[in-house]
Amino acid sequence: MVALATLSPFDAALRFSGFARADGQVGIRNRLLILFTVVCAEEISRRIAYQLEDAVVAGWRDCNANTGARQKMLRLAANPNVGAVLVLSLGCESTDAPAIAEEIRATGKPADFVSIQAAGGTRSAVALGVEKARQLQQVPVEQVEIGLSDLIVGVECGGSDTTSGIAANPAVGYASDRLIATGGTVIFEETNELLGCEHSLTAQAATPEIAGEILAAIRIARDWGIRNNVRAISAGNIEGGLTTIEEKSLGAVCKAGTTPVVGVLHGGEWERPTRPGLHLLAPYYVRQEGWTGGGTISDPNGVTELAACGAHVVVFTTGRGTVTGSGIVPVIKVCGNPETYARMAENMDIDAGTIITGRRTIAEVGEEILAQICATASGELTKAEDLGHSEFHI
Amino acid sequence: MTSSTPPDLIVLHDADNVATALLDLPPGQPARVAGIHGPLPDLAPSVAIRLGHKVAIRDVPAGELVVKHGYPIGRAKKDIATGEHVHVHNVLSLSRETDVATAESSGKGV
Repeated sequence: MVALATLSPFDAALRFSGFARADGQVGIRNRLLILFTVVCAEEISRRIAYQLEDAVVAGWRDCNANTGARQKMLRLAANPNVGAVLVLSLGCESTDAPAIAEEIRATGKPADFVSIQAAGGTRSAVALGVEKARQLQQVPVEQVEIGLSDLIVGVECGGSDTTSGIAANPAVGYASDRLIATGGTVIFEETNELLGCEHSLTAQAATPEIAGEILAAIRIARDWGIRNNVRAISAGNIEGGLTTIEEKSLGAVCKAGTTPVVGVLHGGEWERPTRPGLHLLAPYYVRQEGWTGGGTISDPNGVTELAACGAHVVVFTTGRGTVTGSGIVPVIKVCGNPETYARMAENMDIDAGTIITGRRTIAEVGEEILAQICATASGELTKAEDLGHSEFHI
Repeated sequence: MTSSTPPDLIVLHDADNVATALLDLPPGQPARVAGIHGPLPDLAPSVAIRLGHKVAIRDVPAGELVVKHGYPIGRAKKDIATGEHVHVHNVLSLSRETDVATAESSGKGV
């Protein structure tokens, strides 16, 4: 089923400047992450961030420690777009904030820690946080040249409508195939949309082990769907022209393209892909029932999961419209619905509705997506970044 | 590469043997078909096709895979001719071949 287009020199030749990290990764942004370990420290975190350039806030709100939340925070901190981390603690929450800062520092990434109680209250904690953050930002960062093939690109959809499967997702699928042909890496998830795709995905899995992992992920998603009564194909779907469950699912899955799955990443652990090619991020409950984030479905959660797996950038398709961004990974919005695009243009980077109106082909929009990824990797802000969107979900 | 007029049917991947209707199409009238890289030859559906439904862009013999998005979405239950409506009356889901549990839980036989 793989039909890769011949590469033009345009994609292969493009190079951009990135930020070298101690673990060998290279980021396309140099963000300072202010990571709060309880909601009581969120407000102070934001006040510190307001006084800094390129600082973003994320964290775990519950006072109770949570193994899954801890792992997700550590993996977010490990994202190559994060240059340094300031851990913000109230001081009495159950999560061991100093240990988190120490673990991050042990990876070679600059990190520091502020306890609001130890600092002496609002003003002194903000002042201390700003001072420590500025010190972290002064640590020199080596700039190195990278290309499209060095990027990990996440693909995601939200606010889908009938245009998603005929415009935005096929165009992203086209871009995904081209990216992987350059030696790049793509991560897709949303396993609940893989029902019926067992045949296609396992038939071209790189190894029998990967095929087995894909099947396990789909079975778990199917069982979850049966329990929650949100599975399979409805009479309304058939009325609308969808013939089989695999066709319905592929309307979403096609944004991953048609290259073989070369790796299955495990939600909960939020591993980074270790080789180029297409990767499926399997749901957390494959290994760790009860971990946070599992079964949570939202635009910010999907983007955060991809960021935790080391994505440099996320390409996000929508039909009805979404505003979600991330402080850690630039989010490129691809809108397939011409009416939505017209109404929400300030949030949309790519107008894929032109496929439906006949102004452009799927290939042309796919090429524009690749060009946008290159521009974003070169430092151009996405609409979500420009608007200051910084959603997250831990 | 592109035509300025909106297409009536769209092919979503080079490997596909079906096109999807972007609007309600009457039978027997030539419809404009958009391909991945540009317009494809016009195609006249043999019956009325509603928005979102599929038309075969080449003959699909019984037992062959029906391909959309570059992936098989099912198997032809009977011979399907170019221009014919492709839907539940002439396509069977592959999930019934590969996953008995899915077929059982859908309430229909394998």
